[in-house]
Amino acid sequence: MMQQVEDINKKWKAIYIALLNYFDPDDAAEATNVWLNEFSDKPTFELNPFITKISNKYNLKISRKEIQQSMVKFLLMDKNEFISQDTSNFDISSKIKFENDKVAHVVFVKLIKQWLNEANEINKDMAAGIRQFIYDSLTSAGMNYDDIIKIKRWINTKGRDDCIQDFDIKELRQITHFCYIGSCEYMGPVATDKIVAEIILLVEGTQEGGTFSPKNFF
Amino acid sequence: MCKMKILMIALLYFSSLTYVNAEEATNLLLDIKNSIDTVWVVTAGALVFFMQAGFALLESGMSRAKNAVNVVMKNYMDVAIGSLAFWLIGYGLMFGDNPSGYIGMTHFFMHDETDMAYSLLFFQTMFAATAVTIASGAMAERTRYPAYLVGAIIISGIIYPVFGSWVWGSLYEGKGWLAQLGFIDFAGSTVVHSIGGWIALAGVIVLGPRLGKISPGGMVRKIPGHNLTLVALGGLILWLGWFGFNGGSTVAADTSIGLIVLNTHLAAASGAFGMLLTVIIARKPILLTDIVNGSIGGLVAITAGCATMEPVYAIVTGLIAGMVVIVSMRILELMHLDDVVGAVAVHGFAGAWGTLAAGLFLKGNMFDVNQILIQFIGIVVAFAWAFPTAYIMYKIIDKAIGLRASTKDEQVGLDFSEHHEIGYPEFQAELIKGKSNLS
Repeated sequence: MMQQVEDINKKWKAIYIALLNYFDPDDAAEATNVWLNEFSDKPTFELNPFITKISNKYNLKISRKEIQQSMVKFLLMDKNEFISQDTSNFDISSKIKFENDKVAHVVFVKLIKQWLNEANEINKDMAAGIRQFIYDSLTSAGMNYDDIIKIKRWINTKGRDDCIQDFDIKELRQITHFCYIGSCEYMGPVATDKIVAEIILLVEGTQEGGTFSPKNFF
Repeated sequence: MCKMKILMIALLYFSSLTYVNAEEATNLLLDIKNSIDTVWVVTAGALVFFMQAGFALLESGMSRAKNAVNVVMKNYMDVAIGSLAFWLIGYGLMFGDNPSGYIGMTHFFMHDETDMAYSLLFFQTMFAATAVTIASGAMAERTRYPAYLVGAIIISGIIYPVFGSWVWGSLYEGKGWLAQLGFIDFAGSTVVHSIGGWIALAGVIVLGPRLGKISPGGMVRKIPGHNLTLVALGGLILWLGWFGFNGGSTVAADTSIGLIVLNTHLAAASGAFGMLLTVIIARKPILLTDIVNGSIGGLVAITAGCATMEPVYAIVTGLIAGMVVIVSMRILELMHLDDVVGAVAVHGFAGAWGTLAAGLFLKGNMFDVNQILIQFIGIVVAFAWAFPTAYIMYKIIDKAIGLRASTKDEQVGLDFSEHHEIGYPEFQAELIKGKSNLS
């Protein structure tokens, strides 16, 4: 997931630089936000719907193909070469807001809580085993003690959801992954796959789940 | 009957000639005989090729839906790269001039040969592909595709042909050392199946069990396959293909084929029955997968002695093979070895039993202690060669490029993680969309 975050960071910057050729910085930032929050989950080079949307919105008269080529050029640029671009361009960062980040936390909370609740309903010992597996695995993976305590508190005492607000998507994904392995170990892979499929459907049915798919954690 | 027909055709042909001498007539008869032999060997080879379809269906059906494509892909590429590796190096090692009795030294990347030699190469290539594909089922659902393919090349190019040369390496010059001892393995219970089974065992040990197969308390969980209809169809296709596997091993269209094919069929039937009997006695449920494995166990077992035993003993061989399969499957489970399709039991253990049975029930020389001892030596040597070699091979592959798929890939399913393709888009459609979000 870290890779995903890095990718998205690089991608929005590429989109933003490309847009600077056609927009003033504020409009470019606004258009980049449109991409980030509505189109960043699409395959990288599926840019047409986004370009159509901003062209219509800002009534652009420039060839859409030209905008697309410009974006592709920056998207394909090597990371080092890309970073060597004029960094002042990215002063706009504060205006770029990946709203999905908050949504991701909400989705994660729904997903894991539902998952552990289901396990608890089937067998309490099993659910306890899964929880312990998550803590042990996170310890083995080198997560710091304070963070593990936060997760423990959140899971065990059904503590406030903002306990885990500091965790980035990479860490949330790691927790989900260990939850999956623990489930396989304690409930069996067939039951786990069934439960996971059900919970994903359930969470996807919620408003947040519709915006940020729980599948992103797997 | 076959010889009579050839003779009659030949006589009719000769009667239309105004001048015939004895030498020409003999040559003509030989030509006709060679043509018919070729047709039979090639047809039998095609039947053995069809067994790949059987393996693909059976293994895929026994795997979960999320790994169905991966299993089929492995079978598909087994034939492809296994055939190329066997043509390039395997055939030479196995059937080339073998004066030492330990390894063939000629006929690599075969060319400029006789027509019959090409037919034999084709037929034997299908055998090599079969030996390779045995491991795929055992190692299903958690093996990385590129790593598996590297293993397949080494198996078909080296591990299988080297042992094969010890038993069958007498096609040109010299004779394999096990063949010199008098080891009997007509169509490959040991040469093809046990070797494949022991390789599979090594693969299973190096890989470890699938995620969640063994509970923290040591309990072995069932992970049912996704389509038992495919399993049954695969089993029946294998049964059919085996008529070519054993029947074609005569490499000649002669009258012995009748007994061979009959023995093959009876052993398959009694293998299924042996399995049925065992599960009834053990008061266990009668599972389709077990019954199919029982019949295949019977087929594997009769492969060594199908040409050299009476039908009644073929039935006994198959019956015991069915029992051997279920017992060895349970033993492997107790040892926490996760063999998805039961390949080690079906090919390794039933193959070993069949090889022993070929010595026990040898027509005209039954229960000969010397022969049984020779058979036993062959069985042990097969294990001693294939298992450690394959174990080292898989260990090296694991260190070099990674043999086991990550748990994340195992969770998503190898269809998507290895091939970006899914077998059942109707209920997995969201997978691609979901994963594409990560791109």
